[in-house]
Formats: sequence, structure tokens, C-alpha cells
Amino acid sequence: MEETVADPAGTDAIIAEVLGDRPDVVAVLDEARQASWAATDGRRLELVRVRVAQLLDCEAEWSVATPGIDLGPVTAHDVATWPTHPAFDELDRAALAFAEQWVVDVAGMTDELVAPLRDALGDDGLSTFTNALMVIEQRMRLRQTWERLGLAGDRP
Amino acid sequence: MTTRRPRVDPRARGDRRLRTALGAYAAAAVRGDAVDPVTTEVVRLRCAEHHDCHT
Repeated sequence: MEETVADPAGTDAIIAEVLGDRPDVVAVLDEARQASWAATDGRRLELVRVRVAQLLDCEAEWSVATPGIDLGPVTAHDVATWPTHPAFDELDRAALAFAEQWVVDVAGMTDELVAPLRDALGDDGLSTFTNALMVIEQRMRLRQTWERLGLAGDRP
Repeated sequence: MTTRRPRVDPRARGDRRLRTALGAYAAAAVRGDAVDPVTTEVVRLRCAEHHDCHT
């Protein structure tokens, strides 16, 4: 049986709570999350998850680690300082730069940001990484929107 | 006007399981009826513009 990746941030629970009347949507969102972790390099997706959470000010996500994903001594603060921090290799930096542009202004994505990832991952790999990035980012945006609307969580 | 070029091979599909899940999510969203069609279309167009999606 395939292992599932747990969600210590509790975003799954919030999705299930708010979309309680749409179990079909909850199920496919969960499947998309599991498929994202299964299809990508876990360490790199975790780096991106933390960075996206920081940019979106989603502390519930950036303050916890995804179980089973080993970042070694790298901390969330290290991820925030990735452009100069020595813990990250070229592909890490390419992924983090891509993710930052994605979050801040996806329409402003440049060929220069895409090329290093495509060269390293291939076309299919970049397509998969992009899909996984979309999944983890969208979950956070949904959570934060619902929390700010008072539909979920503690924040009014 | 900037010429748009594909950044990945148009034949690239990526991971099948993930692609299938996202397709199911999109289909489930389309089936939803909690939001009226006009609002849904306005949001769709705004999202397409934001994402620079001309299709």
C-alpha cells in the first residue's frame, strides 16, 4: 500500500470542514496533494512549500515540517534567505526563484526563470513540478481566504 | 507586442496521477452550482488575465 504524506499544518482538515458538502472536491484535492508529493523530489517540494507559505504569510504552514521529508539542518529562516544561504544548490535556487515569481506575479514569469528548471527536470518534470507547486500554493490560498472570511480556523 | 513561445514541449504531460487528479478537481469545480454563472465567468476571465492565459 502506498504511503500517504501527513499534513501537520491542518490545511486538510480546514478544506474538509469548509467543503463538507462537497466530499467529491475534498477527495480530489487530497488526491492532488498526495500525487504532488509522490511525483516530485520531496526535499525540493518541501523547500518550495515553506517559501510559498512565507510569502503568503501562512504561519501554520511554514512553521511545521512535512513528515518524512528531511531538510537536514535547513530551517525556515534559511529558506527565507535562500539567495545567499550556502545550504542550497543551483536546482534548489532555480526552484525557489520559480516559486517566488509564481506567487508574486505568475504572468511575469520569464524564460530565464524557467530554463534552469526545464534543463534539470526535462519538460515532463517541469510540468509535474509546476502542477505540484500549484497544488501546494492553492491549498494555502484557500485556507487563508477562508480564515480571513471567518469560514474556518481561529483568525477572523 | 511580445512574441509568446512555449517554454515546455507542448507534448509534455507530466505525472499522470497528478494530472488526473487536477483534471478531476477542475471537473468537480465546473459541476459546482453554488456560484451563479455570470459571477463564475467574471472570475474565470479575471483569473485568465492574471495568469496571462490567452486560451
